Amino acid sequence: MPINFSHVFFTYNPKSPFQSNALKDINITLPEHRFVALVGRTGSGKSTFVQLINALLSPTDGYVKIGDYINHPEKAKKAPKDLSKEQKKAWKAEQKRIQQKHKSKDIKALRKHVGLVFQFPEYQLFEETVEKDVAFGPKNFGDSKEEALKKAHQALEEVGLDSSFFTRSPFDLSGGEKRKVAIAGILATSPEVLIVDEPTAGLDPAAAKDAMALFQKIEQAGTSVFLVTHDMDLVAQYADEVIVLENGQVVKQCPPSELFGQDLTQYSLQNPHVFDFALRLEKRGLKLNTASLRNVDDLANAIMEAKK
Amino acid sequence: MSRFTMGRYVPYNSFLHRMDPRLKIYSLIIFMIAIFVNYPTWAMTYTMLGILFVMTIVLLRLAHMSLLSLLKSLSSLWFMVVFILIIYIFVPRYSEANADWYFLIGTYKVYWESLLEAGKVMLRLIVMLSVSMILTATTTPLALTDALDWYLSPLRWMGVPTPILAMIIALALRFIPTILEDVERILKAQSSRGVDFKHGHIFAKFRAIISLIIPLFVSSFVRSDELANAMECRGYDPTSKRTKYRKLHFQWWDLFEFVVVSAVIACFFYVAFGHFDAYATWWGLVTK
Amino acid sequence: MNIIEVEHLKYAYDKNSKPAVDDVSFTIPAGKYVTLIGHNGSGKSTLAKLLSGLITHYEGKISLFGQPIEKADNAAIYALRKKMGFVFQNPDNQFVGSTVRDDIAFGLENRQVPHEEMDGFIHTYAKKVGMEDYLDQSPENLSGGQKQRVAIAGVLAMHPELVLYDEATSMLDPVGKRDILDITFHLREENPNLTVLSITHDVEEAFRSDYVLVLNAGKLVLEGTPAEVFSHTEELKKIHLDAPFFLSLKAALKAKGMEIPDEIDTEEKLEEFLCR
Repeated sequence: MPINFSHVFFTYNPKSPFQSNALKDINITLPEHRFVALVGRTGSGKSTFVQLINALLSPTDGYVKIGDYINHPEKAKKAPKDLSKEQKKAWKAEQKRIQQKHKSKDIKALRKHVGLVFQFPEYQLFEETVEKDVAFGPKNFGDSKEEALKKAHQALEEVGLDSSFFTRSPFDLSGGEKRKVAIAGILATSPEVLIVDEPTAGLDPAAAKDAMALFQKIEQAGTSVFLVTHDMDLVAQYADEVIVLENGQVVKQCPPSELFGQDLTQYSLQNPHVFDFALRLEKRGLKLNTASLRNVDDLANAIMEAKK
Repeated sequence: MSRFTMGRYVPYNSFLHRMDPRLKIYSLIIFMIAIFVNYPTWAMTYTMLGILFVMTIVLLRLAHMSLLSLLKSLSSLWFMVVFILIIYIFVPRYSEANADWYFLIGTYKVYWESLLEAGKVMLRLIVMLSVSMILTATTTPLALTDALDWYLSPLRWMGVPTPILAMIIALALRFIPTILEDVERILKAQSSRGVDFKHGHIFAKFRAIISLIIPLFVSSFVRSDELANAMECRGYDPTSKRTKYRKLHFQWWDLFEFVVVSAVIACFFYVAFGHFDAYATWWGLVTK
Repeated sequence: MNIIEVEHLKYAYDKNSKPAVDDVSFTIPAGKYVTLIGHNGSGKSTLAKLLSGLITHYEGKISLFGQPIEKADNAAIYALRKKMGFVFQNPDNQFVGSTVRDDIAFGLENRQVPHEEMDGFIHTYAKKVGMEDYLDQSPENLSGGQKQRVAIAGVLAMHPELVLYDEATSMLDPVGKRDILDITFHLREENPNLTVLSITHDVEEAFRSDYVLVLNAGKLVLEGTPAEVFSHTEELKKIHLDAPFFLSLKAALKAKGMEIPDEIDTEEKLEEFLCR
């Protein structure tokens, strides 16, 4: 599903002492069927960015086009005064095009296609059983009870929870299992675009690895995956492409190897461990080929190569 | 970042912000009394409420707030206003003396006094809400707690555990923003699972609310449990004595403000309870 | 002196379930930075609750500061807690005050520090954790890392002999995590008598500590210096614990035929060795 940001601005609490500009003039077409990482320091506008894709927020100015759905400001913008007649006409036509009227079912259709897994999603669980909770999404999007349960079972198996979990209470599970149930709750609606916000936060390394492997599998099955994270090791390891947000603007969009391995203080980011080590070696005069650096094994290969 | 909500503290450095919180609570209470006492005649009622209204506007100005944006944000208030107006028209209220004082819509009698009554209630509502908003916008929750603590302190002599009460209030105020953030997060998470909080029939709405309430309870219980553990580990023992970091100091200008506020309220009370009719007195002076 | 002594400690949440902590014994001498690692559900957090006196009905023996804990003696537990500081996992749920200032003051009030001395303490310790410019900020305007720094300041203001981190960094982003560790190492340089027990699943932190305890399914499976513990690669893999970056790199290089002498035991030394 093509996603396109056009002159998007977003301001929190406009015209109040708490006013803050989260996004400033974002123009970007998001890549499809790829594993994309969205990075930037706290407050750079990442979470606002992803909520616009899911129409949980509406832009203050500009618009976001997600497939056929246009997420536009609540009120149409008034034309500037100094326009000629033709310009005014063109302006009006443009406003008419953007200001789609959305019915409840349009928004639901959008959210079915764009799945958003929030940080600490285990706090959204509420049903008596695991399967019911996972089936909640599909049911909201119009599936019958049986269909929804079938989808729920599939999604649960996909995240690695077998049938022994189906009828248990989600509140009796461990933290890592709860997280899996919550993720299954989004996967059950088989979204075309999956956005995950810090999915590994608070998990132990083994559970974190499982979660990332799952997203990788989903991406390979043809879903676009957007990973919002502070953890650059994950970015280096999994992402095909990285988008850097800084101060409400997109400042870089490139493959991870192009971003990493240089001084990143200008973006308030730190290099992944492997790139950091490569950079330190480089400073001492050992130049490595970092073009396809993802993990420790690649780093060892690059070092062996350079030492030859 | 949560949305700007009415009733939230707005950090400015105004005269009202610097005022002693105890004095502010005192002023709020007597302002409220002045709003709700009955004045002798209609003319006096509207004069006194008018004075209060003007005072409110001045106070709003001092607090860097605008009445207009305040009224706009209180959309439910407008519903109330229309509701009250309709009720007073269809369930007329008038005294025997003014039973002839009406106008006709078609053949329906609308009593002038009903409209005056409705106007009074509306004015009271607006002034009351405004001054409460002024208090919360100019006083940090912390200062409010300290002030409440001070007002509660006499109860200690009756064996009421006021430090515990004060701690409960302080914690509640501390966690309001945190829990509002939880609400917003859960609301958004469930929205992206296809819950529609705005539309739909009653049953669907009920389901929507359940999907919000249960996770909210679960996370709040987890929070309170962890908070209790943390407080215990940090040496909090509700039964033992604690020293105080924040102490309120009454300044000389607070005394001055206290006198002014009390003097103003005394005037209002004189009018209300002394059945003082300024217009009649004035008329008496003129015709003498 | 041993700050913590635990002997045959056993605890189950209810009678029929498997014990969460099962026959665990260890000692922690004064002035050491000890990490306790294990994946979620290994019994780490239960152990933390036992050590802090939040759980009292256990089997076995716990001594803190050379003094055995009497299980039901609340007054004694309160007294012992005066020498201990705790930093928990969730930054929000341990932030008691409405502002940074008030949160640090909370502990001081509990210890009945006189009103006049409080501001001095607050400034000193806020400065130690780099939060002196945020004293009047409320928690919703702070990042998780900043809130944890405030928690540390609150702990330090009590002059504890033992600081216990219960997954204090697990909810933080990498920058917040690094800040907390840097502050901790710095504090230990300043005060070598400070004992730190950090319950964590961050192997990098464990690698930098003095002594490592590894817990799995309620049992202590490995203990020793980081070098010793992490040399058991296979055992650690079995219980889903990764090797720290340095060791996995060293192992990868060795597997590819590079010969690295044993005395290369830090990242810096490896850097130097590779560029020779």
